[in-house]
Amino acid sequence: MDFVIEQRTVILEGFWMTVRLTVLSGVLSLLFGTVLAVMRVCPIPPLRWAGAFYVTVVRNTPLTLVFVFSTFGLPRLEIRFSFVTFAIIALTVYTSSFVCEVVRSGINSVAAGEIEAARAIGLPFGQTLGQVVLPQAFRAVIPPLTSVFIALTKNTSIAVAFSVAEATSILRRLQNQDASATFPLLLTTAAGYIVLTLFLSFSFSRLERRVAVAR
Amino acid sequence: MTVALYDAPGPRSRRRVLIGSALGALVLLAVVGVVVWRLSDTGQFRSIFWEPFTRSGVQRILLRGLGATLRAAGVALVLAIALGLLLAVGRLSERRLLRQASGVVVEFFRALPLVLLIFFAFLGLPQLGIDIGAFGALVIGLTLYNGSVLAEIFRAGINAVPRGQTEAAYSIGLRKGAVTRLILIPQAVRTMLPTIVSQLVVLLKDSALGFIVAYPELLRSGRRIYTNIGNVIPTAIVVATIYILINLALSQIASWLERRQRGERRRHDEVPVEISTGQL
Amino acid sequence: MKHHLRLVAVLCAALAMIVTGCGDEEESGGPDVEVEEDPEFASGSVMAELAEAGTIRIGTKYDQPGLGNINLETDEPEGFDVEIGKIVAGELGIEPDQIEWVETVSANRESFIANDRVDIVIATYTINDERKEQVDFAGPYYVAGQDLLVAEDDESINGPDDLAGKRVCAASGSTPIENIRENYPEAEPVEFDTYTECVDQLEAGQIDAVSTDDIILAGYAADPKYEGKFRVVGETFSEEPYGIGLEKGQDDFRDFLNDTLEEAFEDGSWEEAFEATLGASGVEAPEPPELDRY
Repeated sequence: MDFVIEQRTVILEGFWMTVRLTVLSGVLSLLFGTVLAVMRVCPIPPLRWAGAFYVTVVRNTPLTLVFVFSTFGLPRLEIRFSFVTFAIIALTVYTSSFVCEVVRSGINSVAAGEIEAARAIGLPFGQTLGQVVLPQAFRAVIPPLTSVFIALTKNTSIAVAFSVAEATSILRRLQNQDASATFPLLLTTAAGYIVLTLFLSFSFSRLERRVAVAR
Repeated sequence: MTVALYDAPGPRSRRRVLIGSALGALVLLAVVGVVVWRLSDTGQFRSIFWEPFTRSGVQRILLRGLGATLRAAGVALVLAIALGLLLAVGRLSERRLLRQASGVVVEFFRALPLVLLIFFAFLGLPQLGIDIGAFGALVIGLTLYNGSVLAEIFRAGINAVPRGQTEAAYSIGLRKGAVTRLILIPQAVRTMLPTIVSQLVVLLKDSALGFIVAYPELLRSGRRIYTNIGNVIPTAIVVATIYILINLALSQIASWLERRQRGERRRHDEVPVEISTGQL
Repeated sequence: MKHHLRLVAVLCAALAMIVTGCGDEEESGGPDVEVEEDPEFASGSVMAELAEAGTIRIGTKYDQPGLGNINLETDEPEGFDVEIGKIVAGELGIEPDQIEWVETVSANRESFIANDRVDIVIATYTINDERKEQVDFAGPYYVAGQDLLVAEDDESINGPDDLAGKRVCAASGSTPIENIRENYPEAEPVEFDTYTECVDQLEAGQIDAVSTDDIILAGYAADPKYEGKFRVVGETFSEEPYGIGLEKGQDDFRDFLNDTLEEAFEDGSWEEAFEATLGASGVEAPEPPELDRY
């Protein structure tokens, strides 16, 4: 345990990186995933097909393989970023497909009457979606989105194999330095992840309550 | 059923959809074009990168990797179902301590990254003098996580068995253990079969984490090829295609099972159970 | 002027060796190794057991070009470490094709020996006191030193003191990555599972240098795939004596391994093994090291 206390700044820096990966890829996935969901329900067939193709391919590919594509593949296409950026790209590409499906089911959950009413007063697709459906859909999707973001938080740990100094890779480095501290290190890291996921579910359930009142 | 977000198009909006389609197709073609151009400009289509996949040595490595992936996922699935049943029964137990303990275990393993669970087995167990190797560590990690996820699925399945069944079983003199074993679990597993099969997709994808502990599963085998030949992108495309095809086949099976059950359910007039899978 | 001429001559010779040497020798699988016929060993010794079994399990690396690297066609590893393994096996009367190769990575070598998954490990295995507590070592059969591999045209790095602000890659959990972190904190450390991934990123231009033992780096520089792309800086800043790892307490076996190495140093088979593998890049075979019969 002494070793863990001695190395606390390094461990905290690792979790700070985990938080950054989660927040940045979370925000980007929310944006990109919503765009994908809109593509999948829009009246233009090629966009619908493209959206469906993207989701099918990405959802059936292991995230570790997506990481290989970004960290080792992109430099081969002469696309060069830092390894942290590559990790954010991989996480965003993967998580977006799940956000897309959640948002799409949210869109489908909006009462048919609302949509019919919107169409009846002559709103075109863009306005029906943007002003009537999406605001309501987002309320309905907060609980499933919470699960997606919790999964994202946990998934950031795959970056351990792709040169990102996040919490799990700090754990592995410190364990290598002092094998006698293996269990204290494992348990501390586990506690860190639990705190992060609990914090996430807590904030999202507060958010859910607030928008519920707004309704 | 999706509710139409737009009216059935009249002549004018049909024209607009057509223009939109043309524009959309153009944009997509441009995206595809840029990707293909990047790929070919950096020489990704060169035959030295693709030709190795026709060689038997390389194919053998991939096949062996696929075998290792299926083995890890298969063993983990069996163990996870067993663990899931145990935990589900534990959570529905009448003894409070057992119920709470099972609940804590389920929540704990679901809250942790799978990589960390694998590290618990891979780095932690050797410290206790237990050497289980990369395969063992991977299987333990997959089992703990998926067992906990399945526990929740089974619990929902057991709760969905109509109460009359349990009451009837008790009234013919069965004890609680027998009711659980003979009446509840078989029905729960059957109702949840589609969900279990889709969980297999998750397991198969997660087995790629063997990459991190050097277990020679499909992705790690692909790595052996691309580090040797230097063709990351072609190899990643080939490996991804294998994963996608297998997973699509599994999803097909899952939805076929689900359709079949929905048919049955309609006959028996039961309430369908809604379960969201942890597909991540 | 004279100096320049000599440099040109050396470069020409190296180039000629690269052009002529690589392709053929890579496929021939190294020089022929002498196999003893029915060698005699004291009964009950490890050697007698192995000779009796007619096979030996040797742990080596599978992705270290020039030292131990898997050949995708034959599914067998090849390189300098592999050749040393064949010499040892030959001394036991075991044909090269009777050797059972086992892939070992840096992190699992001790446990593979302790758990009897291999008989010996020849896998760029540095002899040090910490490891001596868990395994025994014969050798060294080579003394390497931590060095840097950089892009051929990169003139900004000529030693470890030029690493400030540079991205330097080494294997996770390895001695070199710790050394960089400890002693060169100005450098930006990058870590992957293996050096092959580091070299891949160096080729792709994502990092500035790969740091590990010079002999490993020479192996990459000599790999035909990377021909003319990299240069080994040549300023070593540590000493890494490579040994053959074996189970602790097998003293007769350790003596036998040391004798075998000594013989290989003297009769030229050690040099032959070097020439056929790492020598392909034009790296001259050095003098064999002093054995350390501790």
